[in-house]
This record gives sequence, structure tokens and C-alpha cells, in this order.
Amino acid sequence: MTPKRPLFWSGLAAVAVAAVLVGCAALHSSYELPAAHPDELEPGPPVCSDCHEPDGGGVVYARFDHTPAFAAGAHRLAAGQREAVCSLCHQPSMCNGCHADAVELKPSTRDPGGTRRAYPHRGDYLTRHRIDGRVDPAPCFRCHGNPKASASCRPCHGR
Amino acid sequence: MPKRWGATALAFTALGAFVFAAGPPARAAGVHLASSTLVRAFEDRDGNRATPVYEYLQADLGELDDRGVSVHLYGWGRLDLADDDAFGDRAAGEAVYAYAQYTAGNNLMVRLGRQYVFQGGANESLDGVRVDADVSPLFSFTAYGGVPVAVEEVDGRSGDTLWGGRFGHHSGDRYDLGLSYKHLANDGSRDDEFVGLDGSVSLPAGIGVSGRSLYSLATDGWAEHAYEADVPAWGTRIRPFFQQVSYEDRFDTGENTGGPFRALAGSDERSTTLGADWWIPAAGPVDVTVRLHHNRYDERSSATYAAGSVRWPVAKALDLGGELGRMNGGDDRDRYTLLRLFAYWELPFGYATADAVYARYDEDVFGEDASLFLSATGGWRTPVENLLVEVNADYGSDPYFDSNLRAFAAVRYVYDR
Ligand code: HEC
Ligand code: HEC
Ligand code: HEC
Ligand code: HEC
Ligand code: HEC
Repeated sequence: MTPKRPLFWSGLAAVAVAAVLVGCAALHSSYELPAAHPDELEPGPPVCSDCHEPDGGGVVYARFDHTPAFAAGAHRLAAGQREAVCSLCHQPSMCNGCHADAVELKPSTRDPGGTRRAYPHRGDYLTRHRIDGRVDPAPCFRCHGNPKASASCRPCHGR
Repeated sequence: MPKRWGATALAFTALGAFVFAAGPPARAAGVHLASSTLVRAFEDRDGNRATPVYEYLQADLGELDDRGVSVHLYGWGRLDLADDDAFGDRAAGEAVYAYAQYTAGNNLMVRLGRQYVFQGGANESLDGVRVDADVSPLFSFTAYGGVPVAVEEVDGRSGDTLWGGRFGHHSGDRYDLGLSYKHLANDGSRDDEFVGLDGSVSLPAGIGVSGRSLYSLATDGWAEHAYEADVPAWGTRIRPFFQQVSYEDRFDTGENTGGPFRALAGSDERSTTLGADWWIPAAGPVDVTVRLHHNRYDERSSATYAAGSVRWPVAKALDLGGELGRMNGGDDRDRYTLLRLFAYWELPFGYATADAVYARYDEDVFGEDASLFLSATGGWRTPVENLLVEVNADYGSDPYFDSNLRAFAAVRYVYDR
């Protein structure tokens, strides 16, 4: 029982932590997401916290509020942590509309009537992208950062 | 490219066969089909005429609103009626995803086949398997492995592997912390290896803070830090954020580095972005968003983008909107002003929409100082249930096209059972 036995103490600590975790597990039952959102929603981006307590149960609803910034890309942190929440309402094809590695058409060309949607690259983007891309290439990389997703860039940028 | 078409068709047939071979599920299974057939007519940058017909097809079968087994397919193909070589050797189709899914209690989810993975800082298309599950109320994980799809054109697919995952610790609605990892090898050599840390915390007064950092093991450096807060105040939402990116560590993915990112990956540049989005949902009759991004660099002079956008529901059936933005970079070639105006008009039998985008550049590009884009669409909800017909025309005049008129038509159909 002297501090000379670090292995013993760290082992004991690990067992204690594990015991606490198991204890917690027994106390609360796991929060389970439903397979699909139970309520049919109106068209248009939903503000979850209009209907749900901003944080309650196992979901921080306010994080998923579809604000204009969320629709335009700020969903990325929430999606990276809880993609399963997105799947309550979206099939992956919806995400692929903006994200696919090889969809060929930009979203506003494939769905020109979707003027209210948060599509990137509206209008003449070939000219504007030279400036946006210089100023902050990080978002570009998030969608065009692999060979397939940069196929349409090849004629000008090479490979 | 008939070869690619063949592969796409094969993948879909194989999955279709799998579904039918598996026999009709015991319980009533759902069927969701969505088809979009598009025709475009335009002239490309080199004066080639093109009349491509696209088919985008999605099928979801099985337990769609309940736990159990389901199959999900999505892909597209293109056929150019004007054989003017506008598409060169670009792939004429793609199986975007084709996977079978099983879900059960404890948030267990297994996906097998071609799929997208977004969880844990990944953003990858994978031929393989993914498993998500809770190991206790406090811990959950995502693990995936297989063959990456996006690098198939680089040295073929043999020796290509992709695997990784995320281990998360969370406490109900208070916080969620994650440790993630991704390893991508092309032709047997590691091109991309990341460790990620992510976190989100709910603070009092409805304030949320979240963020993520990525460390590249391939280049041994922090690739990016991105942190933001969500602050509700006076019925509005303020989202301040911070992002720091090291170009070499972020953009260098070895052999796979795409053309646009090659030069960037070779530079020592590091950028820091500070910004905020401010959403004012009820500023009188309109909904306003203000956006401010300020970028600083180790090597270049800074740049700021400021924009305001409005959404105005004039009447129950008519939405108007617009955006005015100004990019102010270090020198003239990095400066432009952007104006967009749009309308969406709901009609008894469909809808009509209009869009206009105008950009003015402080320094000429190919001797031009502005771009104009105009687009109008009419949609008709036909008497056939869920059958929509859409026509669109757009006009562009910009540095790349003196003056160009393009036509578009679509037939969209959805079947649900
Ligand atoms: C129009 C109101 C409305 C909106 C908007 C809405 N929901 Fe819901 N949601 C419901 C109703 C009703 C239920 C079923 C009752 C319940 O379980 O609370 C539900 C259930 C849920 C559940 C299951 C709750 C549980 O513990 O069983 C989740 C998770 C959920 N919603 C997430 C979201 C998210 C995320 C958003 C925003 C993207 C959202 N909802 C937007 C009305 C809404
Ligand atoms: C409760 C259901 C629900 C949940 C959960 C949900 N969404 Fe949505 N989302 C919607 C609806 C409804 C729309 C509006 C679609 C429309 O107007 O056709 C939408 C729109 C969007 C849009 C904007 C699309 C556009 O073109 O403007 C994005 C992006 C998006 N969702 C991403 C996500 C992500 C990422 C998640 C998970 C982090 C998520 N959503 C979770 C229901 C949901
Ligand atoms: C309307 C277009 C649009 C749609 C639809 C959309 N996204 Fe995004 N997404 C973006 C944009 C733009 C970004 C980049 C944001 C940035 O970098 O600031 C992004 C970034 C992301 C990222 C971060 C990727 C990375 O490499 O860091 C994830 C994860 C993500 N989205 C998930 C989803 C999911 C899941 C869905 C479907 C539920 C979805 N997105 C639908 C536009 C979209
Ligand atoms: C949310 C995902 C997403 C983000 C973020 C994104 N793009 Fe794109 N981009 C697309 C998609 C999808 C297309 C259409 C398919 C293609 O051309 O690869 C496209 C097309 C383009 C095109 C061709 C446009 C045309 O009219 O032919 C350019 C140029 C481009 N992107 C540049 C950029 C730059 C520069 C950035 C960063 C400032 C960026 N993109 C960020 C998804 C994205
Ligand atoms: C029609 C030709 C063309 C196409 C297609 C094109 N680009 Fe560019 N891009 C340019 C030019 C020209 C520049 C400016 C180069 C310069 O100023 O040095 C540029 C600059 C950029 C930059 C700024 C970084 C830099 O090195 O200056 C990025 C990022 C970028 N492009 C991304 C893309 C992406 C992603 C795509 C495909 C989705 C794409 N581009 C397609 C012509 C093109």
C-alpha cells in the first residue's frame, strides 16, 4: 500500500471507474431514438425547439434547429456527432444532393425550382469560386476533397 | 462510358435480386420509389452542344418506419443525345449507394454495402460495413471498414482500404464527447490518417458550445480546429464561430490530393476564420440573417465577407427573398459584390419560381467585370398522384459565357406503399 505500486493504483482506479459506469448504466436505461420521426412535418426547414423542449431526454433539440445557418452548412458538427438523428427524417440521398462525390449536377441545376433551398453555388460560380476558394478553401475541401468529388475540376486544375 | 453503366446496372440488379431472393418479409414492408428524369440542353465552355438525359433513381424497401431490415438504393445515369463529346471521359453514371440496413434496440444499426459515412468527422463513400451501437447509456460507438469508393480512379481499387470509427461518451442532454479515427490507404500506402476530437456542451440559458479538432497522423500536425457557440437572445440566434486550418495538414492526402488542392497542400499557409451568423426570425414581417466571416492568414492579407439575407412571405402563397453580400479581400482580385433575388409562388396546380444572381468583380476576369444569371421555373402537379412535371430556362452572361440560354425539363415521380 505504498505509492511505489502505480500499477496497482491505476488498476484499482480503472475498476472503480468501470464500476461507476456500470452502476450508472443500471440506474438509467439507455435513451433510444425511434426508427423514424413519429410526427409528419410541414414542408420547410423545421425548428425542433418550437415543438420540443430545447433540451430534454436524450436529444439537445436546439442543436438540430434548422436555422438558415444550419441549412447552409452549420449542421456539420451535429451531423458528425449524431448522424442517427438526421436519419430520423432524411434518407442519405437528400444529403447527397449537395454532398455526393459524383452527382455531376450542382444542386441548383438539378433542382432549379428550389429557390428557397440553401443550395451552394448559385448563378455563375465558375468565376466566383476563384475568389471564394482563395479566401477559404476549407469548406470546398469538405465536399470536393477527393478525386471523385473533384472530377469536374480536372479540365482546369489537372489532377 | 458503357463500362461504368454496366457496373452500375450490375450493382442494382444484384441488390434487387438479393431483395427478392430474401423473400417477402413477414411483416408488411414499405416501398418507397423516387425517380427524377431530367433533360438539359446547353452549350458548354468549348462550344460543344449537349442534350443529356439524366435518370436519378432511389428505392427504399423493407422496414422504413420501424426497426428491422431494409434495403436502400440510389444512383443515376446519363445519356447524351447530342453526341458532341461535351462530357469527354467523365463517368456517365454512378451507384451512389446500395446497402442493406439492420436496426434494433440500444440504437444498434448495421449497414452493409455501398454507403456514405458522415459520423465522426468522416465524409466518405465506402464499400463495406458500418456498425453503430450504444454500449451503455453513457457510451456509444461507430465503426466502419471496407474499400473506399472515391479513390478508385487513382491506381485502381486493389490495395485500397478505409476504416475508422468514433467512440463517444455522452450524458443525456448535457454533453457529448467523441474520439474518432480514420485510416485511408490507396494501393497499399497510407494517404490519409486522422485522429479527431469532438465535443458539445449545453450550458445554462440555452447556450450550446460545440467543436472539433482534427490531427493528421500522415503529416504530423493539427489539420483543423473548428469551434462555435449557439446563443439564443431576444428571440434571435447568434452563432459565433472560430476555425483554424493548416493547409498542408488538411489538404495533403498523398496520391489522392485533387487538382484544386495540390498547390494549397504544398504551401505553409495557415488560415484563421472568425465569424458569426445572426438569425433574426421575426424582424417585423421579414426573416433576416446577417453573416460575417473574417479570414486571417499567416502569409496573405486578410479577407472579410459580410452579407445580409431576407426572407419575406408576402402572402400565404408567395415567398420573396434576397441576399446582398460583399467580399473584401486583400487586393482587388479578391473582391466582389453579390446580389441575389428570388421568388417562390405556390399555384393551385403547381408552382412558379424565379431567381436572379448578379456579381460584380473589382478586378476584371477575362475582360469582364460582372456575371448575371436569370432563371425561371414552372412546376405542374399533374392529376396523376405524385407525378410532377417541371420546366426551366436560364440565361447567363459572365466571363466564361458571353451570353448563353439553357433549357431544362424534369419529370419527377414518387411511389409510396
Ligand atoms: C411540428 C412539431 C415538431 C417539430 C418541428 C419537430 N418535432 Fe420531433 N416530434 C414531434 C412529435 C409530435 C413527436 C412525438 C411525440 C414525442 O415523442 O415527443 C416527436 C418526436 C421526436 C423524437 C422522439 C422523442 C422520443 O424521445 O421518443 C425525436 C428524437 C424528435 N422528435 C426529434 C426532432 C428533431 C431533431 C427535430 C428538428 C429537426 C424535430 N423533432 C422537430 C413534433 C415535432
Ligand atoms: C424532425 C425531422 C428532421 C431531422 C431530425 C433533421 N431534419 Fe433536416 N430537414 C427536415 C425538413 C422537413 C427539411 C425541409 C425539407 C424541405 O423543405 O423539403 C430539412 C432540411 C434540411 C436541410 C436544408 C436543405 C436545403 O436544401 O435547404 C439540411 C442541410 C438538413 N435538413 C440537414 C439535416 C441534418 C444534417 C440533420 C441531422 C444533424 C437533419 N437535417 C435532421 C427535417 C429534419
Ligand atoms: C443544402 C446543401 C446541403 C445538404 C442538403 C446537406 N449538406 Fe452537409 N454540408 C453542406 C455544406 C455547405 C457543408 C460545408 C460547411 C462548411 O464547411 O462550412 C456541409 C458539411 C457537412 C459535414 C462536414 C464534412 C466535413 O468533412 O467536415 C457533414 C458531416 C455533413 N455536412 C453532413 C450532412 C448530412 C448528414 C446531410 C443530410 C442529412 C447533409 N450534410 C446535407 C451542405 C449541405
Ligand atoms: C456542400 C458541398 C459543397 C461545398 C461546401 C462546395 N461545393 Fe462546389 N460543388 C458541389 C457540388 C455537388 C457540385 C456539382 C458537382 C461537381 O461539379 O462536382 C459543385 C460544383 C462546383 C463547381 C463547378 C460549378 C459549375 O458551375 O460548373 C465549382 C467551380 C465548385 N464547386 C467550387 C467550389 C469551391 C471553390 C468551394 C469552396 C468555396 C466549393 N465548391 C464548396 C458541392 C459543394
Ligand atoms: C473553368 C475552369 C475551372 C474549373 C472547372 C474549376 N476551377 Fe477552380 N480555379 C480556376 C481558376 C482560373 C482559378 C484561379 C487560379 C489563380 O488565380 O491562381 C481557380 C481557383 C480555385 C481555388 C483557389 C485556390 C487557388 O489555388 O487559387 C480553389 C480552391 C478552386 N479553384 C477549387 C475548384 C474546385 C473544387 C473545382 C471543381 C469542383 C474547380 N475549382 C473547378 C478555374 C477553374
